[in-house]
Amino acid sequence: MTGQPLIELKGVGKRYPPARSSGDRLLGLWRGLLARSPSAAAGVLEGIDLRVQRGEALAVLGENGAGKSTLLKIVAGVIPPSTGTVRVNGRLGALLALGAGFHPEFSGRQNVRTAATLAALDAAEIDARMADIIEFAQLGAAIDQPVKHYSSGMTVRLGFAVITAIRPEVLISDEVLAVGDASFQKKCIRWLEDYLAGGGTLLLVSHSVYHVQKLCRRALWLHQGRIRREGDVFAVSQAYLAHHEAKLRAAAGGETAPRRVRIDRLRINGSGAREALLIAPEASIEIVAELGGERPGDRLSVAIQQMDGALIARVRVEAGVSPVRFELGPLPLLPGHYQVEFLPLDGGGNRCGDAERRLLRVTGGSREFGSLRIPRQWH
Amino acid sequence: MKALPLLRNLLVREIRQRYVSSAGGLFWALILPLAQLGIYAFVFVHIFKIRVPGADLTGFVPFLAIAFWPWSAFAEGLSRGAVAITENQALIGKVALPHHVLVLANASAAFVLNLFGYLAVLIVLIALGTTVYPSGILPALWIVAQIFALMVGLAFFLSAVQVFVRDLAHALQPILLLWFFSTPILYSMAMVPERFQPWLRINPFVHFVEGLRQALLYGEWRPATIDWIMPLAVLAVLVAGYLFFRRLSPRFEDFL
Repeated sequence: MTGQPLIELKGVGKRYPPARSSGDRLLGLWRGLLARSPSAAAGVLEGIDLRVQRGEALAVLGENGAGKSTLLKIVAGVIPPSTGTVRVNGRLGALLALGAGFHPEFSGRQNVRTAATLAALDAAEIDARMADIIEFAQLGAAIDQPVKHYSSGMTVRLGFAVITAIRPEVLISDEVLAVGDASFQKKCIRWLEDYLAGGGTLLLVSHSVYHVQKLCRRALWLHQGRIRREGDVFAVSQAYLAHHEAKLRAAAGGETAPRRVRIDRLRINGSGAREALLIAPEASIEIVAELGGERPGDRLSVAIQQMDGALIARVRVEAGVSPVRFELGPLPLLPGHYQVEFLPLDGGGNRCGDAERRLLRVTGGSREFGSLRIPRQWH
Repeated sequence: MKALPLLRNLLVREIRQRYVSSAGGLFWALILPLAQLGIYAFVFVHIFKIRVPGADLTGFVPFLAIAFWPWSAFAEGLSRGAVAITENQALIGKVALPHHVLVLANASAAFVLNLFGYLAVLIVLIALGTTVYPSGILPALWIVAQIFALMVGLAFFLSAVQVFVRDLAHALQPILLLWFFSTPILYSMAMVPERFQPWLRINPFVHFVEGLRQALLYGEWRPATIDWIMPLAVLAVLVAGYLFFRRLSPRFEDFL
């Protein structure tokens, strides 16, 4: 798409100056008055360049503390960046936190009024849309109760309902979908899909890869305040998940097992490399395993797993003679990262050696979810 | 362009908030000042039997009341305005909004409520036989506008500094008390020993208080040189306060 991007960030960084002691705070006051840059401190974001075109949906992924919320706040204009520039050329709606901007003492209706005023709706527009807002939030009589009595689900419903009334050109949402119940989540997703189909622009932070992949085509992976990866939502989210699961695995530590049978060499499609092997969807893989040790195992277990070790499928092949050669496939795996675990088994089916693992990456994109592609026919 | 409706909304909200849980609602904004007036009348007139030179014509209670409520509007508005940013920190970190509107809303709400009280007190005084000169109403409004502008200008300063120096709100109360007693609200300037008078006159509120009495109680307000200088000085404080505030406001979130 051509033309001016709707959101443009250039070299955006955010650092928080030390603010613990009163000396720090006085220094902050002084530097602020002289318009000097804040004293060196903890960086939250560093060197973020970002362009979002009208009609795009961008997901922001990252671990806790990676700077996602700070990035969204900067785009929303809630906090100014320490370095760099931010340009947003459109009406903004932001759901930055649960009940942000709601006053606990006031009723839902009064808070809607304030929130809509903040979004630059005039009184007539607010009156006209109030019924829709209340209808969308499905709060019933609670709309006239103080917000302090609301559950978190009710609060997020009200917040989202206000957004639907504001009809922003850019919607910024920070992990708020997770709070609503299942039916409200579906309703929000449906609304977001309509909004995107109607040319709306979305910046979404979510830990739900499901939501991310469903709504967004592009993704940004923030890691320790920097962009680690950016591009197609599937490539980025899969890389992100793989990173997570590898981390979990590292934390769990490697297991030890009796070393009676060793897997000396392992080749998949002729490659012994430990890097992820790229295969096309529905492709087969050819495996050659050379076994050694006290005696050959009786069988070899081959497990296809998700990156966190969750089992997708396991097969056992006869392994009386080394090398063992066999072909697996065609593999009905959806695009994504997987690992294949090889484990020598004895005659009784018990493991009798160390496991070997290889990574697989099934290329391509898909709108389906899960790990397996299930064939289907329409009748 | 979006600041005005927002200000109105926040102002209504702030006023409501102070009375939201009371059955009497805004009624209290009128009753409390009148009760206060009654107490002052009893203590100062019947117990202290106070005699203020210059107040003989009108009696002490009108003399006090004319100056007291504008002061309390100023002092309360300033105290509320000074904590506007720190009190609304939940809003500042989560919602994009012009920060100065929060200060304006907090300060004006307190100011306006006190003016309601002032109005009620004036009406009761008139009903009880005090002469309030209609010719003084316009000058009085002009003076009240200056008090308001001074309050907002100072509130901008204080609310910004309060973000960085949290002790400020505590320090403000004794300072306001000192300011109150160094202003001829409970007494008249004529009671002050002559050598202190020039020092006291540095205080802009002396001018406001005397102007209000001249205009409303004595019906003899005439513009002097100071009446041309004062609005400019107040305007300067307002603009300087706003610029000071605007300079610091991008850093608020870092220190909240």
